[in-house]
Amino acid sequence: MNREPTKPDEDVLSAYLDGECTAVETAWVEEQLAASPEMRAVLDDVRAARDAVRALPLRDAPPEFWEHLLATGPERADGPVEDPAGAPALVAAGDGAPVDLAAARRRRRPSRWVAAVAGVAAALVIGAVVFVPQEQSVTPPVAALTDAHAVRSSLQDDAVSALVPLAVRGGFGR
Amino acid sequence: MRRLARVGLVVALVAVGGIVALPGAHADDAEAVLERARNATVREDFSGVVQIEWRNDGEWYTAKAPVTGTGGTVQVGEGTRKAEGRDDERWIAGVSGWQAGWDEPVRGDVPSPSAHWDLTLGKADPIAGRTTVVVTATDPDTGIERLKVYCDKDTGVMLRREVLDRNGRVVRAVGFVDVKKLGGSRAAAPADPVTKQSRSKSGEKVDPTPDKVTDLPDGFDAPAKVPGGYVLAGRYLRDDDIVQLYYSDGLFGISVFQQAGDLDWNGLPKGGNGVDVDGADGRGYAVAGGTVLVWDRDGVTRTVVSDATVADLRGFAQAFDDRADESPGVVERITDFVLGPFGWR
Repeated sequence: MNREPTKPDEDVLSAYLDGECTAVETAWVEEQLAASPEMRAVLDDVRAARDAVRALPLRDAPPEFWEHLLATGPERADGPVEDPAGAPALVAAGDGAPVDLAAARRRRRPSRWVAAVAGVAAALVIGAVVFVPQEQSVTPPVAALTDAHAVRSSLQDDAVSALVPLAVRGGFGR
Repeated sequence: MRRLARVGLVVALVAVGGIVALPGAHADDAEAVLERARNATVREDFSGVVQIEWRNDGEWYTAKAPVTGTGGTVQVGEGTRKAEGRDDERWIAGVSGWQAGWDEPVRGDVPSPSAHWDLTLGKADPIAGRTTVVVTATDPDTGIERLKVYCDKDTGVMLRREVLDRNGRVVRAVGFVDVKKLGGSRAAAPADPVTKQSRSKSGEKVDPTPDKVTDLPDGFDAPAKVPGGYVLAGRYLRDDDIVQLYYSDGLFGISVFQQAGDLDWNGLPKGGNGVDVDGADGRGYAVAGGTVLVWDRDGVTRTVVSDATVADLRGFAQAFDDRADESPGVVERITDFVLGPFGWR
């Protein structure tokens, strides 16, 4: 069963460009692209927009952005999932059975418990990084420490012999 | 009357005893000569040239510097390489000018040299035209001479100090090669150097002395005694968070600097030789400033500096690590803290 080309779904095309479509979706998109100049035009627009966004310089987000994101994130996750294109396209699979693209994409999204597990894992990793001492390397300032010893030594031993090393060349090579 | 005579006799005996106890009168007492030499440069004015010699990889190196002692202030060097000391203050000059190096009294007791060394006093050849006596320190276990201190017979000023290795060969020496003035009239002390960093940009006085500390940060060790006769005479925390311990056996002073972290070998100065510190890799240097040994163990990097030989520093390092092992280290304590609640210790 073949369907008439549906209204181009930019999300589907974007997923196609990003290589995120399944084999069935890819086959359908390419079939539509071959048959529809309009679909090819939309694909070109999506590609241009995508390239333009990726060419933008990276900027640090303002602090309130993250506060806002944290405050609104869960509500959005719990809210209804809309398909802005209004086209959760039903496409024909290889066996002719209809496939709901939007539903398939929703199925690929991680479920809440997976997200929760991932969050806990991330927290553990962060905790390990922050609280478990990391193997750090240090470089002792050997020449400065040698001078510090001379100074300290001169306070309880003969001052002349202890201070002489501070006044002559014959230190460390680099 | 008889009572008055007895009192007079006692007073006379005390007076004679006082004369005998004056500095210089105990010339046959090696330890007294060492003690007298320790402060002689403060009591006497002098000027001349000192030379430091050290042996490294079979080669001898030498460097000279002018030295003066005026009114209790000792100045060594000239130009942009010089150091100065008066009482408990020290200054060091470099290309950027004078910098304060210390400005507080030290209170740690130094043990008696005779507690660990066999000391003898003898005559010696003149040094820079001055008549000398020599104190020789011998290792009581091996019978090998390890240090010779030559002092001016008249003033007590130390004229030369020789460090000998475990075979009795001189490996390091510092002393006068020219004496222009020694003893006699005294001049007024020069003004204190004007230091660059005496005040911060905000006007606060900068303290050049590392903080004396009673308790060290976790993970650092400071055994009160280290086998070999070394006694802890001071512990300090520097601005760069490096802990400095100062040990002395009465003749040799050793600084132990401790940093948290493994040793970055690529950051060490060139040269030096590999040294095994009881199974841990280390590197030893012999430079004008002394002998240096660097190694790391259990997440702590240690740098020890002294004018003792590398072999002696290695022995000290092993003894220090052994004493440090007697208390849990930083890694062990953190491991216990983390794994303890799970019963995995």
